[in-house]
Amino acid sequence: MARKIIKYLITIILIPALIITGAFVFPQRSFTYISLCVIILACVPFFLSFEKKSSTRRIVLLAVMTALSVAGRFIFAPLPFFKPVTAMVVIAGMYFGSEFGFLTGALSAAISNFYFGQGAWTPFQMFSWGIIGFVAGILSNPLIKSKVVLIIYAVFAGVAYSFLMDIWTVLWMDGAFNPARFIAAVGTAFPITLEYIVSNIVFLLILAPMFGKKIERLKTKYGI
Amino acid sequence: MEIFNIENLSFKYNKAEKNALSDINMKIRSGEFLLVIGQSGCGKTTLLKMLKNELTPLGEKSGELFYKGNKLENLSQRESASEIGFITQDPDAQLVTDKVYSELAFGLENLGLKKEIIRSRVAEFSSYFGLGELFERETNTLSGGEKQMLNLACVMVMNPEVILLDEPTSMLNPIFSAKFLNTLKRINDDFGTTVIITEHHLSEVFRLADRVAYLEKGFLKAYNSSKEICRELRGMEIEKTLPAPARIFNAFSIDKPCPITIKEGREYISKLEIKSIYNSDTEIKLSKTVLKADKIWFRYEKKGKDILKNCSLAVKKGEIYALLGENGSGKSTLLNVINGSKKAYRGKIKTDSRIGYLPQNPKNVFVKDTLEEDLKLINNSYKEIISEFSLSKYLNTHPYDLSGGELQRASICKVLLTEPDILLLDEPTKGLDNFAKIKLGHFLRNLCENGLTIVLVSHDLEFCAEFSDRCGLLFDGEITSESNSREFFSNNLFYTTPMSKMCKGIIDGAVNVEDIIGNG
Amino acid sequence: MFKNFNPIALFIYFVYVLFISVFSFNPIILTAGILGAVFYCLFTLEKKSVFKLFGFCAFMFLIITLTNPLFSHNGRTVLFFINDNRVTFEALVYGAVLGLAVIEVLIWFKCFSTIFDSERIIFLFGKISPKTALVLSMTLRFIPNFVSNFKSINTTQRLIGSDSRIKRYLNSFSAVITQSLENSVITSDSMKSRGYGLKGRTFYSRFRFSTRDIVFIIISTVLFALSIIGRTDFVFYPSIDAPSLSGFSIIGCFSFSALSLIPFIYELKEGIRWKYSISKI
Repeated sequence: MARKIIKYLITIILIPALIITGAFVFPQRSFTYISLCVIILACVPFFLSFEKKSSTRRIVLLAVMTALSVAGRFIFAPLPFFKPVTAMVVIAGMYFGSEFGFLTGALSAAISNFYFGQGAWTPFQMFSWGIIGFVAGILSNPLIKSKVVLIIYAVFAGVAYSFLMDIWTVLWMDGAFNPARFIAAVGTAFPITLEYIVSNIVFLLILAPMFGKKIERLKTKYGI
Repeated sequence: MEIFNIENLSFKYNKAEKNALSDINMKIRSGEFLLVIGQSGCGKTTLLKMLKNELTPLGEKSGELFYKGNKLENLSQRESASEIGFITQDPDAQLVTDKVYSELAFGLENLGLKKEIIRSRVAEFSSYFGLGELFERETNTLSGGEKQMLNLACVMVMNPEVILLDEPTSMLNPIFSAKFLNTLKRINDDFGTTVIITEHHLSEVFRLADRVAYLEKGFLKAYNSSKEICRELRGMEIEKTLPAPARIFNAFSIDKPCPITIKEGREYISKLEIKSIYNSDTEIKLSKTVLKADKIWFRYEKKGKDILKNCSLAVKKGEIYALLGENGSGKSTLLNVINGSKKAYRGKIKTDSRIGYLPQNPKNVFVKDTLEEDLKLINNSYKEIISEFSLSKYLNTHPYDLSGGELQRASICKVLLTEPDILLLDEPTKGLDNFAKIKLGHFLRNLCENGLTIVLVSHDLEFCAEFSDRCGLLFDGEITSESNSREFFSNNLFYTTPMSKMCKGIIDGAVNVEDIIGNG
Repeated sequence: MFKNFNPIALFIYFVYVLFISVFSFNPIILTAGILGAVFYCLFTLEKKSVFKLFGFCAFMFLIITLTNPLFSHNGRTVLFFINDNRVTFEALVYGAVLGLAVIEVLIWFKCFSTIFDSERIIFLFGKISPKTALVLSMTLRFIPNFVSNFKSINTTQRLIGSDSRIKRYLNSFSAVITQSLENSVITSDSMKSRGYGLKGRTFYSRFRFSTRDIVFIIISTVLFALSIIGRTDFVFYPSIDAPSLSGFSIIGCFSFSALSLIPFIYELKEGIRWKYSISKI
């Protein structure tokens, strides 16, 4: 009981207090500060509920899906226009639910930065990929049923990821949202965004139905 | 005292037509080393899994299982985890964490032991298993043998009463599997831990076992001490897989105690009056050379050490050539240079033939969801060849669902669709049981008679002795000795079949058990 | 070595330094932070990666300094016009400070990445969320496995030679997915049979918490607090206004410099001690 009270106290009082004082201490960069706090806090509930309820099999599956998406990044490195991370995150959400999708996305970001270098952008990246997986989980039924929805979502995921990361770049540099810099960032990132969109479409159209079959087979083979 | 008491146990998998286990009655003594044998699909694995609650498969079960006098199903999860250890054949997939030390600690963490206790327990057992040097390594940098040893250590740190092992050495090479089995025996002696193990290759493990159980199609056919059971298995199909001394014994007289080890076998055989052997003259093929490796030099890194040094090899049309050698002697590397996936920095491969290659893991040949889709990737003329291989009924099966022997044949089938003249095989018998091995051997011989040439790399000396025409020993990057198989194995002292070791100086030239007892 | 402090202590330290670095906008503080990180990098990283890092930082600094006036047209001192847009001296200086801020964080994160290897990160997560820590550890084992598995499948498929490169890559990747999903069943069986899921799981690690770590945390916390109390920001728009040098701000700058130099000083001390003990032998 005492633990519970402390937990609520922390969430209700301590965290807002932290954000507000931070904003006062750093008046010039308050937006950066607040956004970083909010982003990190947004990830917390997912990890908490994962900690509470999740079977052994789900834990292993989460590790497998995360590893597949990160390993895919290495595997397809020689081919331009092939970046499977987002697609794998979407697939995770589609077939294993929104919470699972969020965790796959967030962990993929965190772990691929083990190899490519951590930075202040890590929490933002975690959140962006996490949200893409989360929404895929919510839309799971239409995504599995309709190819059109899948393509639309592939485009959306590419654009959303780029935009979210651009917002972070601008916030970090200016400490506030500077529209001019945002437009410039979106502009310079355009070719990369396009690459994301193309590879999302390709991978999702090929891998998603494939993955569905594999899951079905596994279910019948092992009676899960 | 009995550790397990199995009473009238039957089990049927969901959706299966027949029972996987039928009316099994066994009393397994505490502290005994029990070997369970039988063909693939005889129910060995199912029986092992029934002995651990967490692994009991879904299906209909009847009969009773008692563990230390109480019903097994009433055993608490905590006790089950710490007292009953389980090891499967795949050394890699049963590992969990990324570091050796955290893998060792994993089970103890689950039991909720204190950090200090875990620390001392882990230290104790890593020195018992000689894992000290590997302690900080990443688990995926270990070799297969080291991984399996780690798996054993991970079970042992939990101080179990009994260890269940499902074909633990089938993926290991002979040196490592002997080491693994000897360690297992040492555990059995040192701690009195009960060991229940299933195996296909019996020459090493048979002499370690106190008792042996033989399962056939789900029935317990024989259950006796290792010396006695050989006699009981006489005339049964499984007899062919028994260690060489026992087979000789069964073929001649069975009034004395059955020899199991080479030493006992030599003593036994010296009293038999056999001088001549069957199959003594091997025909030497005088066909033309179709593949020539000419003074090959190879290394992986610019400044690394040479793996192949001035290595030369000539393969003749229609023969099975077996490349033997220790781990790291460059066998697989030589195959990779021949198939063109690695480039020699000096020397040349000379051949006009098309080359087909089969990797160690036959699963890697297949990438689609059914066998048919996979074969279609090559061309559409697969129907004929697939029926020749008697695999037609599996066309709609997922390749990974095939049994080991079927998978191996299917993978050969896929590669043959590319119409190669020479087939390179990397350890084709790995993970196969003896029946599948013999079947594969005859199958390969058959292919050669139809004009195919085969080069294979193997650790399986008995297989090579029986089915290959010539053998070459690769050592330190070059082929140090090469001759036709019979000569090769009868001249070697250590690197040879158990039968040859047993007959050395007594019956010269005997390499296979069939050399003495005939094929009848 | 500095990285041998307990990961919790190290993490607290990095949070302090990065906290101030990310949110400060004071060229003196930023320069001090950069120097601390650079010295530590010189001590620990290989020459090649140091050059690469510094090269990248110099590039970033120039880009940010030069482009800021294009986005920001505030400031009193107009230098010239581009397309009717004012390019001001203040914006240029602001850009330079922004550049410093960006590269400072970059270099500190580089230090963070070199110190916090997977083992340390898993340790940190193990304290907060043991399941996540386990997933991290498993994932790190899977990744190289999957990559090498892919390579051998891909090579086999290339030798069989039936597909275009892209198709082959996709097929091989699909096979990796199938194999890894199948193996995951074995892995979870292995976990269950070793008692995963029982109540009261503990967490084992090789890291210990000693008085050395407590002293380190106390020192860092004091310096951090002093830097926060004494912190001051520069104002750039409409014109540059440096805060007056008060006792507070001097203490602030001094404290932060000391804080960011801790890793370097510690390595230096250890180096000297090692040499001394060698010469004794």
